[in-house]
Amino acid sequence: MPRHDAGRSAGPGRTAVLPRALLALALLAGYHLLAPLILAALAAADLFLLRGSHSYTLTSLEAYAGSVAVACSLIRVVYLTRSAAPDPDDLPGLPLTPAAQPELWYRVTESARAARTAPPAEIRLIADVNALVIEDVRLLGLRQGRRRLFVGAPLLLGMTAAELDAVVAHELGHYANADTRLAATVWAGRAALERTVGALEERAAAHRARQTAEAEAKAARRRAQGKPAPVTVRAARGPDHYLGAVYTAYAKLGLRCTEGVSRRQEYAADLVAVRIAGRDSTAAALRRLTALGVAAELYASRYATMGHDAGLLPPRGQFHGGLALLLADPTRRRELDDLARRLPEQHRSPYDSHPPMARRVAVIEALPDDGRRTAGAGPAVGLLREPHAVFAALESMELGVTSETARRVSWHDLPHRTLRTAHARTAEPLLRAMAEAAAARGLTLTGPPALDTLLDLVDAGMLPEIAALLPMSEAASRSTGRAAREFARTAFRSRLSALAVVTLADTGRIRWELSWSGPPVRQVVPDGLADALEAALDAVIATPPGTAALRHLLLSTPPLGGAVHTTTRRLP
Amino acid sequence: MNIVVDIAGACLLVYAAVTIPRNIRKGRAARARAKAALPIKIDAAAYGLVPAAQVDAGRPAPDPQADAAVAAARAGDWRHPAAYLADAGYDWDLRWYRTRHLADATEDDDGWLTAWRTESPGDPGAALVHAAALVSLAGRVRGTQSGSRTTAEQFAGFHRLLAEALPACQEAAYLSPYDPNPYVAQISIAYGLGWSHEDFRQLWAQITARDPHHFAAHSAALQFWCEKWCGSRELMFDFAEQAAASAPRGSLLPFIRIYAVLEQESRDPDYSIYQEPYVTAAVDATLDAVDLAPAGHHRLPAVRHLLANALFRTRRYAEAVEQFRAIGGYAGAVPWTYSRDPLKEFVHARTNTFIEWEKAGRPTAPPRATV
Repeated sequence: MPRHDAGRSAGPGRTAVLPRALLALALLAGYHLLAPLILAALAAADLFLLRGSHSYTLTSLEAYAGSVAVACSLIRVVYLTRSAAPDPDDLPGLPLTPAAQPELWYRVTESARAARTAPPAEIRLIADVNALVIEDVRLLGLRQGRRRLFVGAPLLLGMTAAELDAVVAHELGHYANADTRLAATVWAGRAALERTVGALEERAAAHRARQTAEAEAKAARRRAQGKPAPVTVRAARGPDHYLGAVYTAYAKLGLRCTEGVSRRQEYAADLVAVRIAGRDSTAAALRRLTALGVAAELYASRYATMGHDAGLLPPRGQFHGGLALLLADPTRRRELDDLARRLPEQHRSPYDSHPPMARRVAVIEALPDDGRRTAGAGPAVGLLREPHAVFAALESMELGVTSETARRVSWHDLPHRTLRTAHARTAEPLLRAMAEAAAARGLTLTGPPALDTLLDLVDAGMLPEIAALLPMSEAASRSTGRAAREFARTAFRSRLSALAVVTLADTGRIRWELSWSGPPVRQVVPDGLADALEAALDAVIATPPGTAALRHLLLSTPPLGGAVHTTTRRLP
Repeated sequence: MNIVVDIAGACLLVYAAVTIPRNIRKGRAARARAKAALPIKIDAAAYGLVPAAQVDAGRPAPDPQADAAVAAARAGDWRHPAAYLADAGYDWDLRWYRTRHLADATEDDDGWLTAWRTESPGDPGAALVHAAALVSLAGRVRGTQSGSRTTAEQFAGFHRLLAEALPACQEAAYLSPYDPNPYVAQISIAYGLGWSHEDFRQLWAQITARDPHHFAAHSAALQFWCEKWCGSRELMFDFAEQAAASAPRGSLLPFIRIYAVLEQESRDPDYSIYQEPYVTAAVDATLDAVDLAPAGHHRLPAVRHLLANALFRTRRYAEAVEQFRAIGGYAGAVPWTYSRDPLKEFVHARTNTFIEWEKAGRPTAPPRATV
């Protein structure tokens, strides 16, 4: 059986199932025993004090009070805060029903059958670069609960169907392997422990915040009464802090003990994936995961949310779906393929439950060839029916009301509209200052506020007045005399620059274009405009001001078209 | 029931008996700590010193002539300042000293300077003051914080004004070809815009060809060569060494080595640099130079401030006392201005100097052999 040999070549021996199972059980039991043990220890200590000769000394009274406080907090956290059963409406992701997505369901069910485990009861589409299977915990994790498969949209967009099979099979494989039967138990124990530590830390932080607030209030009262500040300023730590320390230590011990087990489980799950999806597809899927993570992060931060501040979104369904366009760019594709070839070698943390990706890929690639090739398989998104509608639904769920309120623009227009809005926002205070300064002089401005009108006022010697009305930075508001005037000039110049850029953009002299490779936005400007604009702006703020160069520039710059030489050099 | 009340009462008593003395002890310790943290004071009048509250932290020493010229300028009269500047004659460093005073008089309003430049076109003095004023305006726009704490807006103004100052310097140089000061003004532009060492050496050659021992030029050039701006520790000390070695007898230039030490100390402020024998030699040489300099030399106060600090840091209290007495009630000079509160820094050094001097039994300064 190749699978058996493969298990051996993967390093982890398949011996000693029993000790590992016992260890997992012991850790779970230990977690449930920890609280009663602490309570028993407290009770014993109190009894011991009570039976002593001086049962009502100050110290023993303090000890009783302390033990009651610790016991209360322990009972409250460990026994009275249960993680509520997950509310189906509260689960992350978009449910994909078998009726709506029969192809995807068929594929997943087949994988589960091949892995000899139950198929998931639900499949949900999420936005992360991740896939995972989660079961509700029942009876301390010893009985199987409802099984859910979560699939990240980037995986559907960035992987072939065979690679997706490998990822899904890996996740299902965690539940399929006989020797990892106790995985659910281990995970249940781990989850309970994490929940407890989290709750204790939360309570300890709240306690500290309360103490600090009280100390501050006290100090403020004393200040108000004209007394010196109190001597003690350090907030005392509550019982939650010390309980938290105990449980954190136990959690670390548990992770240390089970990390070998967890990592072996990963190798075993990889073997399930190889059996179902083929060796090459599994290796390719693992390699792809890292690169896909980088690509999705880049896409989300620089492309999908590009127009966020301007209230703009890409077309409906493209907020997540546009990743496909990024991945289709040949240059970007090459970069990502390079990235997939160089995988991280090191463990990220001693408590990481996964072996390093490079090691996992190496183990899989060392397996004998199974004759199954990766080529020819279509992209996984092809498994979806009406992908556009699915992504649109995911988007409205993830973005909430923003999805409805934001303006939808095509990818082609998104950068231009975004940057025009950003520059217009910078220029806005200048136009306002211009109107105010004109009103103060009793001038009536005709037409919409525009650069031409502003330059007329500058020619009339009103630059200092307008500049003085601009919002000031902290350094500028601290300065006086000539330095203050220089700060005003700097502010005027930078806003004037934005206004000039808006004007040039509106008359078709410059344009911002989307680029799926390299920096997301390219600014297309006629050759030599950048230097000319700098010089013209300098002339406007010089003494005496010269507006002719800027006016000329706005009129004489040729609109972008076939005959104009352009550069992608950025304007100021 | 009575027994419980008794026990509670007893507990309260015991608690009080333990905590009240403890709190008293704690309070006493806290008060003692607070007192120790307060600045120590000396009776300034008993030592013939200006009391700390009356020390002027705005200038290194009094200068009535400069005050009169500045006051006239602020009142809008350019002829008085013009005569004041021209009166410096061919003492190039004195001319620069006066130029800086006049440049400071343009901080709020440069109307008088504009009037001077329009009514007396081609006046080299006006051109020089204009250039120097632009350079110092650039410095004020930038502020004194390190690069990371300076905003893009501050840098934009700084660079723009330095770029405007360069042609102003060139015009001043054109109008007065023998005057090194238009080039001295460019030193600040050089380190502000990060000129290459090669470009700076060319500028330096222009200065030394006109005045090889220009005091302010050397101070400014030290800034260029220090690590903070464009050089390094080694380049700075090499420069200081060379300048001090080539200084003629009677020149105050040997001070440059103490200035370099101070610059280094501000980078690694543990004062260990003062333990090095180099500093002893530098301080001795500066003491000699101060003794030889004519009384009333315009750079004497600046050197005394640096010297007093170095003597204090090297624990030569008897000599430091002499310098502090000669300085009087002024604290507006390097090294104190390197601190955020120059007055506090000055008073701290002065107070501790006199306390240590008192502890040592008020010794007199050791005689100096060379003079």
